[in-house]
Amino acid sequence: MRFSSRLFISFILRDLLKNWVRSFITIGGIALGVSVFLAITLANETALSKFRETVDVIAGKANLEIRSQSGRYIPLSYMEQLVWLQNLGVRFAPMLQDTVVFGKEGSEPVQLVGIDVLADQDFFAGGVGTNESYDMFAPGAALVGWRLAETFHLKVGDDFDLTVNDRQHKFHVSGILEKSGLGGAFSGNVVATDIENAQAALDSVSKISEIELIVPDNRLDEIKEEIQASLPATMIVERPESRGNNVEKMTRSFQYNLTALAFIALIVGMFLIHNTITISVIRRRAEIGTLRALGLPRRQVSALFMGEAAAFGVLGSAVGVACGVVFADGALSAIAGTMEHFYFQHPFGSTSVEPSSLLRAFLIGLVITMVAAVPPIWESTTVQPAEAVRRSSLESKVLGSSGRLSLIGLLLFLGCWLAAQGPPINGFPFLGYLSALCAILGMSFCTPILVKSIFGLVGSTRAFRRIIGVEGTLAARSLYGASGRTSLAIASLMIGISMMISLAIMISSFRSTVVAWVDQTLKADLWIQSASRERGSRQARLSEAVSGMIQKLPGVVAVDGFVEQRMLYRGEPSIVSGGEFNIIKRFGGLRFTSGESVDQVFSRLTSKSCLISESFAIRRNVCTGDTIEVPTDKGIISLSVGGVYYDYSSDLGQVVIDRELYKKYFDDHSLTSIAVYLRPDVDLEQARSEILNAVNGYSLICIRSTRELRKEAMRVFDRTFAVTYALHTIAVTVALLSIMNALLALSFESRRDFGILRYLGAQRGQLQAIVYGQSFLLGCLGNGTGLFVGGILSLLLVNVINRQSFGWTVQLAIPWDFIAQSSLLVLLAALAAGFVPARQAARTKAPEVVRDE
Amino acid sequence: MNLELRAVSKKYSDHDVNALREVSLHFSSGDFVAVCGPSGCGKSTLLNIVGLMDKPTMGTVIFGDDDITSLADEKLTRLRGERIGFVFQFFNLLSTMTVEENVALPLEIQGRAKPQEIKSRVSNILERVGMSHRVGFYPSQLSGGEMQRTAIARAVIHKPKIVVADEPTGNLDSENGNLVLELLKQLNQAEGQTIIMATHSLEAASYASRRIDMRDGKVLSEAR
Repeated sequence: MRFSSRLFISFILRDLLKNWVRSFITIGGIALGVSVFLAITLANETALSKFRETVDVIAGKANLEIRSQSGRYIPLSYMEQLVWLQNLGVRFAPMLQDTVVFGKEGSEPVQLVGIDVLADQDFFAGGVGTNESYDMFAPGAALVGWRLAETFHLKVGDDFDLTVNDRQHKFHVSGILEKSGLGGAFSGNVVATDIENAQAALDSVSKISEIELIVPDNRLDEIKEEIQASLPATMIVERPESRGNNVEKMTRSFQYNLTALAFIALIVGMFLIHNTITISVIRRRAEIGTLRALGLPRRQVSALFMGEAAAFGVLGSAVGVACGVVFADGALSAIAGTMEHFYFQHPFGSTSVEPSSLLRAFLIGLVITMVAAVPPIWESTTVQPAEAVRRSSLESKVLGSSGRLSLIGLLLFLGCWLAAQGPPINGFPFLGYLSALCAILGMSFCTPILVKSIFGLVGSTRAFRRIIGVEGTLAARSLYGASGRTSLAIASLMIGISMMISLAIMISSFRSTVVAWVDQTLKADLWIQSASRERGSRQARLSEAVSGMIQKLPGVVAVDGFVEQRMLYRGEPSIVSGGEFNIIKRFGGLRFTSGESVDQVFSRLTSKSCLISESFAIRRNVCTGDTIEVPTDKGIISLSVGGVYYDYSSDLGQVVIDRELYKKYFDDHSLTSIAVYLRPDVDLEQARSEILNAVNGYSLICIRSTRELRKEAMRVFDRTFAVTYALHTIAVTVALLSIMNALLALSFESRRDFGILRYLGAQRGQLQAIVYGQSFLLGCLGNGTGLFVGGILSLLLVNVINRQSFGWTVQLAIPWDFIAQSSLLVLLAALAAGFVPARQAARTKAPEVVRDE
Repeated sequence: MNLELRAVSKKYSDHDVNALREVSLHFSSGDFVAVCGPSGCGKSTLLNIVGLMDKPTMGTVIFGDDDITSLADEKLTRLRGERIGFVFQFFNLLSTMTVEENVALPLEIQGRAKPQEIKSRVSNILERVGMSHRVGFYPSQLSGGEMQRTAIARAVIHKPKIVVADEPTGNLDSENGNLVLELLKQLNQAEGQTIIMATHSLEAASYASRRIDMRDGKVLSEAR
């Protein structure tokens, strides 16, 4: 075995095993960081990849598709205008698809796919893929996806119901789709039927959602251009995979922000490894000096410690990758609700684990570990051997350079302020995150001077000494003496706490803003949507006639039918809606960013005016008075922006026009929801049952009171942020591991001092009190600096990152009770982190350690 | 205060070494005892037992009139804190504390004396050991002799009955070594404290009024 290998084993590996608690904590910290990052990455990737898989499977061999930019459907008759393509060897087939709900009562979203059974089987990858002979022409005949068949024990010949919009439709299982081909779409939760059956069920006779085209590959671009030139401006011909790109665009802000949050656990882990290696080189400084004095080159000493970092990195990342795979399903289910509610519907199931994702997470963990280890290793190996043998020289350096470090810190705070002024880049607040990073690093660089000043003051001022006693004084002094390690431990805790506090402030602010918005905008008494939408089909509609039926009921003052649908505005997924402007004007219900009243804004609206949501204004850079061009079924129309209103229901951005205008330009008279205004004397429950009676047998609806709707809105809100809470808990856990690591090292380093104190008559309990004093002081300063940086980060999150990502203005609301509770909890956790080191201190064998030293 | 060891043995099980073998010794109040012998003869173990830092495997330790052999750690620690002072070869001052703070430490740990009293006693003792001009200095700013004088001040600040000194001159030049020994002798004569000092040095041993020679964990000879 080579000398370097032998040296690595004897000098590094044996030490790692000897100090197994510290090694375990470090590996655990890295593993937690990597696992959280991987779990979130896998969840994000799975969500998109499942959608893309469905798009691919449904497209089959089609390499182009024609869709509308203005809404869900295009006229079937448009197929006739494509006959000329046949001469170019292009085959094409219509398709109609939408999300519906399985059964009469359940809430299992299912993709209903209407296909042209007579079309070329190439349109369905791998064929329809059924293992039965089937009859697709019978009314209600359908092929059922394998997972649906499995979940509901369906077999050929069975009947089943689909809740589509506000109706129920009977279908008949004529075959079970295998996992390959169309059966793999929507994770097997698919019902394929003849296009006419689907049109009937979706109440969209003569409409289709897209035309799939198989174009000779060698002429693809040329033919695509020809088709686009022949299409109306509101229709688009694209490769099927571009739908995945649109979904990616929609969810980009959400996913990037989630990944950024997950990354914080890695950054805290980075401090942990930095701390561990610093402790390692400080503790073994004399030995490094000896090795150097014996002639070991600097390069080889560096390699030894880089080897130690690599050992931590490899083990921590490997464990992290394994745990990440386990956590990924949990992360996916945590974000699935948000994805489905705000962006797109798809049964996510379990995460798909791509080897490349695992490798990437492993490498990120390893690289971060190595990078974090470089500064202490560099410092320890660049000193002269004579200096290296002096244990305290590094700590003295930290104390001595604290002024310079704080100057760097102040410059970073300046950088934080400057970066916060910058605009989003490609719609993402990169500069906002840079600003947050500057704040974190700025405070990290200022920590040594705080340690020096505060612990120096606490340890040497008589007034403090009287309060904290000799144990507290010794605790403060030892932390002061180990400023380098103390600063790192405090910085780790500061990051964890700042993240926790900033997110808590952001969520609290967001919540109180949403509560206020809901209170101010939900003016109606009852809210109606279709049973299908209530049970999970986000795009489901109500018949327009329902509105008329309700209008006739006694006690009903007004009915506001509202419709919304996705559109592509300048290639970006957005929402176009139709609302009853006269009712909005009469009852209010909108708050404008200009501070104007509804009357003021509506007084300047013309027949071609629209209102836009704040997200649309910010993300599409539009303001009141501008003219925007919106794609409709009748072509592109120019609308003047009459006002910008606050809206927190979606970050895609919404354009609202009067419903009459909507009906004129969109071939769509259905409704998404209905708001019902009642006379003040009308009993809500009575009105609810009267409405249900009125539409009974015609429309399946669900009615909610404003109170219920508000409750539901807050439930969705809390679910959206549940994953955020989990992420910051993990970051704080990693930070506490860092504290424990530092305390273990400190108590090890303080063995001699503890031994002397035992000689001088200190009880074991007093030694424990010193360690708990250290924990408490670390917790206090970590919490204090964390609160300060948390305040800065919360301002960045609320005013920069959130605004640039989602286009929402959020009013700052500080959750003082949470801050007080979390501070108490952090101090208790810091004290708990001192438990093992305190026990070690109490067990100090004074004669041995004093003699050894 | 008298201290007596009766047939004390100490065996370190983890090393399977008999550090002391049936040692019986009596230390009277005001003794200045030098314990001599080569490395590994059991000097440090003996000092740890008389300094109440360690317990014998066999035998009895009588402190004053009390058998303290099986005293609980807490009581033993309290007794040590009040009645014993230590001086070490490598001084063992706490690096993060000033001279004044190091010296005050035994009183602070006991927690009985008032701040004013501590201050006055520290000031007096530093005056006596000639360190009053270094009150606010840290150990790293002191010479070896100064560090040991500070350590002696710390060892006697709480007026212990017994001062245990383990090679107090082992890390000093002869001039400083003599100064330290003079200081210990002065304290012994002025305060009547029992001083038990382990040393390799014959010159150091000559300051003592009684000399004990040890070999292989046994007392070889005793001379006054």
